[in-house]
Amino acid sequence: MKRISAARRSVQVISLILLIYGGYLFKGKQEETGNSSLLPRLKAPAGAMSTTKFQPGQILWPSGDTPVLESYPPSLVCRFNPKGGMFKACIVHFLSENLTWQTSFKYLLPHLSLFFLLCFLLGRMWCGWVCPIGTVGDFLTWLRRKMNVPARRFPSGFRITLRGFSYGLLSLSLSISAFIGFPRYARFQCYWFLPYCQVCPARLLCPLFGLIKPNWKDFSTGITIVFTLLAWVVLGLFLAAFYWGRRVWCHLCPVGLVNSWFNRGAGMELHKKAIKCTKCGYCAEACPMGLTEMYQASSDTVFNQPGCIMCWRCVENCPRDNCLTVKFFGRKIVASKWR
Amino acid sequence: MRKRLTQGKLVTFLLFLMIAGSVSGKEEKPLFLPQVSYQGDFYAAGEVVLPPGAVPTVNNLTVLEKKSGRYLPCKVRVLEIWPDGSVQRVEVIFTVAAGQAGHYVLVYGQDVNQKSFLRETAVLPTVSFSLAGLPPPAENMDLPVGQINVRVERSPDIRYYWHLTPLAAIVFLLFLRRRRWNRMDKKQE
Repeated sequence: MKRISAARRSVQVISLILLIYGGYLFKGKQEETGNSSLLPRLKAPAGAMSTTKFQPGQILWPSGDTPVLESYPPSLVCRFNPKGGMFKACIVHFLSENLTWQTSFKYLLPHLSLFFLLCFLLGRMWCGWVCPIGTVGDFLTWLRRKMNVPARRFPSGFRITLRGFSYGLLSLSLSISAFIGFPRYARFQCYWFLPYCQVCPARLLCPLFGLIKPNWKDFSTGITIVFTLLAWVVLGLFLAAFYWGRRVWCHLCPVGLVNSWFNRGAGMELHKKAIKCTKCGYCAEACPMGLTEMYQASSDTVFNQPGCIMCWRCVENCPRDNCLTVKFFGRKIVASKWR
Repeated sequence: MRKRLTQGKLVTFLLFLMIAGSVSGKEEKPLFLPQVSYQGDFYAAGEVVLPPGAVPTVNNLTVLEKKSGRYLPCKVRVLEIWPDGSVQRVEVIFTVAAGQAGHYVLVYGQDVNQKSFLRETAVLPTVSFSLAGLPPPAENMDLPVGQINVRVERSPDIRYYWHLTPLAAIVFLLFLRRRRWNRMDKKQE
């Protein structure tokens, strides 16, 4: 009974193809035929577009009038995809660049409402089923299994520390982005624009999928040297994290962090019936995020911890009938079965 | 009779100019980059308005570095199209190498065939280029009608603010459900 895993793998592969190569499939076509979307478009502030207001030495970002569905659904892959990808950016990129642009809040509303809607419906399911970086990670995990290298289990304290780092990373990134948005500090934009993107592993990995050489190094200034070195370190950590510890990286990922805020209360629910649990520990063993709360729960509960990526591996591996159930707004989708 | 002949010649000449203009497949527009204090590579970006029928697809537009005679890889995004389907307004982005802010020219026309596209594989600052005599495009459009300027709002705010309703509903439902679960958990304990 590995049908959940098979379904998840299929969705992951289809999503990877669509999100990475969608640029070639859809966006190239759209560029040739012109934009004719009925949906509202993201408007950059007039100042950001204006060449007349431009002062020598000042760095401005060009406007992009981007239709909503082609740009910022929650945490879709980044602009470093071939041809910009079918979708444009992740939520961290979206928040960072708009803080720097000082975009009017009203222009962000369509994107935010779409992001909130998807998160409300699916919680952090994005991370487990769609995220292309997670798919790459799962591939590394598969390689590790093939080479018979045992996965390391990390204590819960380590997970909490990583989550703390993730908060730090996100807040630092957004603070820098907001800071350089003020005209007085605009001169720093050339060094600090999209600070998280500069070190994000997706920036280096996404172009590789399109057989494009990413910008591996930039040693032109002191800050770019630091960013280049940091990007290498983070990429190394990313690969190591997936290789040794399954989805350890997902505890650190700021995009996953933002998604996790919606997990509790989302439409996708994971229920446990305590009376049926034999404490076999299969659910804890199967969890790629290393969560043990589900196993420990001694009463009926809706398990939507911030760390849960809704991969449903616990449901798949649970040997008790209907002990673990996935529900969508109370309607049963899948449940554990006796083996 | 001679006058008619001259007029005929003139008309023929004008017709020739019109046809030659439309047949000639290549036009050039110089791009002006401002002085930047930044020393590294950067993206040059800007919007360009093109005449009707001149650029059927984005492949018929590219950027030429005059000094070296090299066509640069650039990213072209269509923003508006003419009723005949040709490209009206585009956003062009290309990379300027460090210390090589040379003489760049936008080349477009039916004879132009852009072969290499720019992929933004690096986080680089962007500098807006400008075209001589062209005003920057803006959200609002000013129409001069004598002494009065009529401002036509292309995008009324309601297009954006109606999104507050689903946003508020989602946030409300999220907190409601979260509270219900928390209560359930407390009850179980």
